[in-house]
Amino acid sequence: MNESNLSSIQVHYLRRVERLLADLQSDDRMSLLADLQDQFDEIGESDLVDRLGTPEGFVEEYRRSAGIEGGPDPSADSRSISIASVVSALALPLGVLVLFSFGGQMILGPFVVVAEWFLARISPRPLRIAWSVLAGALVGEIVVIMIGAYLFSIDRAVLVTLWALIAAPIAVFVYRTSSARPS
Amino acid sequence: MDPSQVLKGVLDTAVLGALRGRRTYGYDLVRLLRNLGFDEVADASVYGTLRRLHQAGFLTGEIVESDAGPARKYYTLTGAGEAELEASVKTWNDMVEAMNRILVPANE
Repeated sequence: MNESNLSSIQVHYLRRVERLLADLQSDDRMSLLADLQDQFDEIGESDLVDRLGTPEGFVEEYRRSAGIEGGPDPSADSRSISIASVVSALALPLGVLVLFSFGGQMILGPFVVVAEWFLARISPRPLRIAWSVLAGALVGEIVVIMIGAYLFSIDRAVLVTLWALIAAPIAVFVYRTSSARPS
Repeated sequence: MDPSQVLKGVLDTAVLGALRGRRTYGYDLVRLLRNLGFDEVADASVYGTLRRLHQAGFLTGEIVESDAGPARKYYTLTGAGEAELEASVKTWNDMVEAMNRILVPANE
């Protein structure tokens, strides 16, 4: 689903509705989200809740009208999101520490990159961006250190450029793959 | 009288009627119903009603990819949907006649 033209509030609304309807068939869920996305083009961000209600209220009315019983527990979902966000935020300084540690990244690097991808996956968008940038920077750093160890005479500016050229696509890759959600 | 309660009772008929001779998707139907005077109906009720009527076999749903946005599900009436609409229209007309018999003399 292309959400590039939506505001963060609208994306949050869609994500919340999507989670609350996780028990529905993908076909039904995605068509409803597409209709909502169409609707967002005409509803201002400030009128969103006035017009549609909260995501919880919207889904409750949708289920009632559709005759669908049960569904995921909204409060449990909120708890798991907030716990994941807190863990991710607390771990962020550790990721930065590994990036700037002298030699530590060569030993821990591959494990930390994998951990960063998982942390990005459970994080809200701002933290996901931070973890993706850290993962890209760390992979670039590891490659540059390895090259620098074999080629002592290589220019420092070349190494920095190389680091940036590796870090950027890796960061984008980590962000995109960690943002993908199962439909 | 709370209009939203009355609307809930006739929403199935309104959705089936709005789809007669028309092929459209959820949000377009929401707009159409609003333009026809269904201002009070909750958007979620329309989307939920569409899903229920589709599950009941009264509507077909076809996913159509779009270059401009996400893929939409377009609905049309099935034969069973046409029959359900005919039956609902008859019930509605009978009810209006009965209500008029009760209310009109009282207003005179």
